[in-house]
This record gives sequence, C-alpha cells and structure tokens, in this order.
Amino acid sequence: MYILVPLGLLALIGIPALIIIYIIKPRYQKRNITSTYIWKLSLKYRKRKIPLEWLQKSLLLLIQICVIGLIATVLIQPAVQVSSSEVEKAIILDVSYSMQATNNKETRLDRAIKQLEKDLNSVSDENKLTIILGKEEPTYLVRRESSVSLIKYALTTIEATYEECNFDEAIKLANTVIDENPSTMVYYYTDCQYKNTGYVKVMDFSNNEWNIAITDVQKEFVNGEYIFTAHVGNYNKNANAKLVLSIDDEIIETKNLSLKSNEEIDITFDGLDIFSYNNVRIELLDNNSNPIKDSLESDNIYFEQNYDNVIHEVELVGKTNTFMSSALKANGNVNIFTPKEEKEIVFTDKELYVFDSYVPKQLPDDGTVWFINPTEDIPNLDLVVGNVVTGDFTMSTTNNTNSKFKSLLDYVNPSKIEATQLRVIANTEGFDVLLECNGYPILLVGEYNNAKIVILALNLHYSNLPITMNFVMLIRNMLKYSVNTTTNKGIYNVGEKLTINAKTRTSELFFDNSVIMNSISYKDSMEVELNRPGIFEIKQVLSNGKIIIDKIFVKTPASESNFRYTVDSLAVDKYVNLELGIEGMPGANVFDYSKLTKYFAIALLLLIIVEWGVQYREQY
Amino acid sequence: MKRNIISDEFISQLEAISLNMKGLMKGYFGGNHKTSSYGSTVEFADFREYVLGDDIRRIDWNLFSRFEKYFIKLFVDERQMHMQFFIDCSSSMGVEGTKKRETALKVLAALGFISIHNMDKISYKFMYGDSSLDKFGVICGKDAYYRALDDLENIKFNGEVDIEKAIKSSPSIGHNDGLTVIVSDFLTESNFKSAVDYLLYNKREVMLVQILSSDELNPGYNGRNILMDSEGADSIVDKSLKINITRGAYEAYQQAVKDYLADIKNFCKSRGVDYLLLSSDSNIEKLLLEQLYAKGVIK
Repeated sequence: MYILVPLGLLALIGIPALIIIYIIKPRYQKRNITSTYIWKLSLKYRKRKIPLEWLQKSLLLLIQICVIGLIATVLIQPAVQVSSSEVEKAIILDVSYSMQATNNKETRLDRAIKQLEKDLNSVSDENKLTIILGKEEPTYLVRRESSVSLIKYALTTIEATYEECNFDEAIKLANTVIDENPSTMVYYYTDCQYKNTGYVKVMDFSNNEWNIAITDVQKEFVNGEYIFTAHVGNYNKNANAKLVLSIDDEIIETKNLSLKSNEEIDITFDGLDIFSYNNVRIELLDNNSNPIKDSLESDNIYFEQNYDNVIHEVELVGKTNTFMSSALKANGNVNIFTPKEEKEIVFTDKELYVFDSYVPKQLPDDGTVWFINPTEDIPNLDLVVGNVVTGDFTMSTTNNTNSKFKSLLDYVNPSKIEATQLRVIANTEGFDVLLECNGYPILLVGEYNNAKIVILALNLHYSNLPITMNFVMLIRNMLKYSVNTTTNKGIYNVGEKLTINAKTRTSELFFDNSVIMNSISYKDSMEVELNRPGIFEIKQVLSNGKIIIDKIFVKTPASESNFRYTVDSLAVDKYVNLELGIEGMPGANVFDYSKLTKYFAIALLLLIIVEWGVQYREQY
Repeated sequence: MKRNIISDEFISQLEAISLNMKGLMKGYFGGNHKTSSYGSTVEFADFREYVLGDDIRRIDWNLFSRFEKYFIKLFVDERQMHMQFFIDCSSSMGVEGTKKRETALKVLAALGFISIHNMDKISYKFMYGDSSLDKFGVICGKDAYYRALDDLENIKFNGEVDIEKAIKSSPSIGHNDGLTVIVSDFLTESNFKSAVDYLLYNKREVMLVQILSSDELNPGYNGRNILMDSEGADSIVDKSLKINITRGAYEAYQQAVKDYLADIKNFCKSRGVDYLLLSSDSNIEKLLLEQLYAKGVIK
C-alpha cells in the first residue's frame, strides 16, 4: 500500500489532543442532593467486576481514537496496485537521421512504420494508441487515439528528420499518458539496443546496415600551414575506401583506408603547405573514386568555405591616402587599390570606394561610396556642395537620435574633433546628418539606388581627426556599415538558422537555387532555416550583373552516423506519477486509492454512529 | 397570623375530613380505644351527645331529664389518648425545592388536627441530633393546637438526626397510651427499627410516615457527579459520593430504592406497624385520605 498524502498523518495529532481533553476537562460536577444514602446502597447492586471492565469504561475514548485514526487514514489516501483490463500503448517513434539508414531500399523508419501499422490491429476504444515523434523537439503524432483511420492517415505524414532523437523530452510526453492511464505500456521504436530499459519496451529496427562516415574534422594552423584531421568511423562491415582532400576544388591528397567493422580512426592531412584556402573539401569515395553507397550518404563528405579571412576590395582615391589606408587596414581585411591616375579609377568590382577631395563624374555601379571633403556636387545626388568655410570648428552630434545610422558614432567623441576648414553642404534632404558644426552638416549617411553613401564634409588636412583615435573608430564604424561577409561561418548543423548578409546593390539573392530576395524585398540580411544536410550555394546577383557565390555546409549530428549502438541505459529507471507523487512501474498495474478511501470512509461513518450510540447510552 | 404551609383552607379541608370521619373512625382516632386495664379507676371527663352506636349504659339520665336529649359520659382513659409525633428535623427533610418540609408539616398538622378533633392530646417532638425537642408540650384542645400550628411553620431543619437515640432519649415516651407517629425520610443509617421496637415495648401504637421527594424516588440527573449530601456539612464522616450515573447505576439505584422501601414495609408489617409512603410532589390531602382509607382508618 502507498500513502499518497503523507501530510494526512498530521490528523493523528488529534489523538493526544483528545487524551489531553479527557484529562483536563472537569469530569465530575458537584451536585447537592438530599441524601446519598440510597446511592450508597445502590453500589452493591452494581455488577461485579467483569473481565476487561476497564475496556467498558474506556469504550467511548477508544471509539473516538478509532474515529480520529480513520479520519487520518482517509486523508492520507492510501493506494494499492490493482490490475487493470485496459492496455494502452504509447510509442515513441525515433525519427532521427539514423532511422533513414537504408537496407534493400527500405529504411529503418519504413520498418518501424510497418510495425505501427500492425499495432493498429489492437487499437480500440479501450486500447488507445499514442505515437510520439522522437526528434529534437518531440511532438505527438496522435495522442490517446482510438480511431484507426485517423491514425493510418497520420502515419502517412511521418517524415524522417536529420536531427537527433531527444528521448528525455519524448519520455516526458509518454509519461503524461501514463498519468492519465497508469496501465499504459511505453514502447520505443528505434535503431539501438539498450541493456537497461526500465519500464520502456525497446524495439530495434536496425538491420546491420553498413555505414562509413566522416564524423568530425579538425583544422589547425601550425607553423604557417593548415593541418586537417578527419575522424572516420566504419560500422557493421569491413570496408575499404578513399579519403580525398581538396583545397579550393583541387584534389590535394588521397588516402586509402581499410577499416574493420566498427572501427574509428583519425586521418590527418599535413605537410601539404596549405597556407590559406577559400574552401576545403574532404570526402569518402569508393575504390573507384565514386561516392560511397552506404546506408547514409550525407555523412560521407565534409566541406568548409573559409569565412575567417574574407578580404574586402577597396578603392581609395585621394590625397590623404596614408591616414585613410592605415585606418582601413587597422579595421579589417582590406585590399586597397589606389589608382595613380584618374584614368586608373575603376567604378566596379569593389566593395568600397573612397573619394577623398575628389568627385568622380559617375558613381560606381556596386559597393559603398565614401566622399571625404567633396569638392563639387555629387552626380545623381541632390546635395549642393558649396564653398569652404574657415574658422575654429568643433564637431557635435545632431538631435537625430532615432537615425538607423547612429551606430556610426559608436565610441566617437565629436567634441574632440576640431577643424579649421569645412565644406558647406546644403539640400541634405534624404540624408541623415549625424555630425554637425555651427549648423553645417559634417557627417551624412544616405542611400542611392540601393547603394550606401557616406559623406564627411571635412578636409582631413585641416582637422585633428586623422591623428586621433576618433578617426580609427569612425572608420571602423563606417567600414562595418559599408562592407560585410555573406555569413559568419561556413559550417552549420541541421536545424540551425543561416543569416545571409546581402551585399550592397544586391538585386537578387539565391539560396539553394531559389530566390529568397530581390530588389523589391531588399533587406540587409535574410534568415534561412537549414533543415537538411549538404553543401548549399548562396548566390548574389549585383545590380551591375556581377555574381558573387558563397557556400555553406550543413552537417548531420555525428551521433547519428555511429551505428555501433548498444547503450547501457535508456536513462529512465522508474516512472514517477507526478499526480500521485509516487514511483512505480506502469503497465498492467494501476494505483487505485478511490476504493480504499471509500471503504475507510464507510467504516468511519459506521464508527461515528457507534460512538454516538455509546455516548447516548452512557447518558441514557 | 397568616400561615403559608398549613393554611386556613387546609384546616377547612381537615375539618371536612374530620366531620366525614365522625362516627366512622376506629382504631387510633377516637371511638373505641381498647385498654388493657378493665376495672381500673377512671376520672369523669366530659359529656357528649349520644350518637347511634354508643353504649347505652353510659347515657346520663340526669341530663336527659334536664335537656330531654341523650348524653353519654366520657372518662379520661377513653377520651385522651396521647398522640406523639416525632419529626425528623434533619437537613435532608428541609432541602429547598423538595417540598419534603411542607409535606411533613402538613402531615403533622393533619394528623394532629384529627387527634385533637377526637379529644386526644398530642405532642410534637422535633428530633435534632441525638435528642428530641418537645417545644409545645402536651397539646389539648383546639386553641392550643392552633397556637402550636402557628409556630410549626417556623421549625428549622438542619444537621443530622439519630432517630434511635432521639426517640429513646425522649423523657415522656408514654406507656400504652396512644400512637406514636414518626415522620421522616428514613434515609439514615440510624437504627430506627430499634426505636420502633422500643416504642412497641412501651405498648405504643406506632406509625411510620416516610416522605420522599421525586428526586429521591427517581433521580433526574445523570453523568459524572460528586453527590453532596445535605447533611454532609455537619457530619464528621464524608457523606459525599463520586459516581458516574450511567444507565446501570440508575437501574441499581431503582433497585436499591425498591428494596429499601420493601424492607421498611416488611419490617412494619412484621411488627404490626402502619407505614405510609408519601411523595412530596403529590397532593397531600388526597394522598392522606387514600392512605388512611387503605389502612382502614376510615371507611
């Protein structure tokens, strides 16, 4: 028997309280009568002492103690395990990546679904079925459902995932079913075997499928060169394979592998003088250099585009090249092209164009443009560039606190920026003015034809700005605003979100050959959910027709590639009924406290009636 | 003087009873008092008018010749039996609310009246402790009776009484000259039976009048009680009783009452002593008549 509400035992405090009441209450009251003579005579008429007379005298107290005891018993809700006729099933269906392992054109998942279809034979109103999809975030496919047709339809909607199976969360969903029907049997349809499964019955739908996989790749930069180490596992069959390393789409080295069943090894590619790379590719091939046909193919390849050292192409036109180039180089990977003559100035294929004290006849057709101290009106812009004014000028911020460009002034102290010469710029409509001086706009930010324009109306030769940290920070912010990398990293896991940073003047953005953005829906960045593994292409078509292609690699969980699974424990030892607050083994037994409580309540009622009768009798 | 217990109305009722009993009485009150000393010298006491049934040898012809009515002579020993009333004046007889005191006084008044009405002399002896107090002396005639009656209501009831000692120590117990009535509740350990035997030895007729309250016959209380005896304050011995009055205890009490009363009754019967049991809640006049009728005192 179990006690569901131990706090109910507190009711037993009533017993000592009752005894204290019996002790302290005045039991005899004085009464004046004419004579006690007859009463004394009557004493001899009382019955002789009989055995257990103390019991008779204490009968009322004993009954009241029993009443309190029964009340406490009812309150603690005793429960017993009794058998139940209902046998309900809750099945956790593993839909992780490894369930896609194929053998004879049938996946493990296919076999599990076939078993589920057989399970439908036992479904009825008394024997309901629950199917839980075991993935990263498990969900109910059906819950306590008795309609066979509905379950059949639901089975057709099952799709395999590239995720892992989060069993801990899945068993919580199953436990909620047990809470409602303690006789529920829990099954786990998976592709592993477990030594200790607790109250869960495990069905293994693996069939000794063979899998060889690159489960992990580490890279190191040692002594000026890159070293790549691939972790390869081979499961359920002896196999020979080739491991091929390619750098920037060129095969660098091939290693022949001869692996035993369930062997895992590390293969290192070093001494190859790889100083830098744009992309690296490692893949497993068969002896004929063809992709291996094992049961899971997505884990046979590794790819990485190097986003660590993306170089931004910058054209710098102007006289203050030294200050500007130093600042640019200090803040990023830039390759600065400085034309020596005007005819060498280019207006394309750069990410950033810096014109210092110079205004070209045309605006570049791609990239971001900076104008430092523009000397005349800028083509295609309505700005009016005026004369130079001289004086002692100190910069200040404007009241434009809501400007989306205000991050350009991060860590910049305008009050420390001084100048003796300013360029007057008027008609600044369409531009955000971030810095000013005596009403003259100094730092303007705007856009033209999807291009970013930054104007600094200062002659750097007549200002202390270049020799202060403010300049470095300002250029840093401007650079960050002006150029970007397509994405932060080259390797993702299935289920992650990819953030694509669109280049300036991107007219179309493709991901995996599908348009995800065009000039109408232009945004600085887009998010894409990665729900399958593989190598994916990000293609940006700039307004000048230039095409920029970047790639990412989405990999599957390494654990799913490991087919050598006999896990010790299923991480579920015992079921805890949260409602009842007791541990137990669900299945054919149920906890029934209602009947016991009912019997005790009936006994309590009868005892109260007896107690009332004894009290009445005592007082005749 | 206005009396509360023995009211004028009550006296009127007694007179009515007495008139009805005239010529019908025998035994104790008037009529043929049988004596055991035939031929002993007697004093002439009085005349009374002849009624049917009187001995014609006692007709005084001189009075007839004078008044042309028949009168008979009365002699002392026939005329004046001495009725002695011993009253238990213990606390148990005077507890407020029980009406035992009122009943006792009414009994004394009634029996006394009947006796006086029949030319007997009476004595009221009030028993206190081990002795009895003859407060009024021998009462002859109605005037003296009424005077005594006025004081009767002021009698106090307190303390304990030893009936045996009180009666035995009474100086003028008499001998072969009348009835002794003992009025008490007889809820005492004192050996009143010995007192009765003493009276019988002195050739007194004896009557026991037991007065009990309704609570004494049927206690109306239960539960856990410490019963305080009304005579306990003056007693050396602790008379209180701690008892849980359950159904069993109550039944035992009933049995004890029944047996005790039966014991007194049997004793009286064995001694030829009359015994009256009166409940203080009952109608005294009716009860008295019924009891006297049952005893054959009146027809």
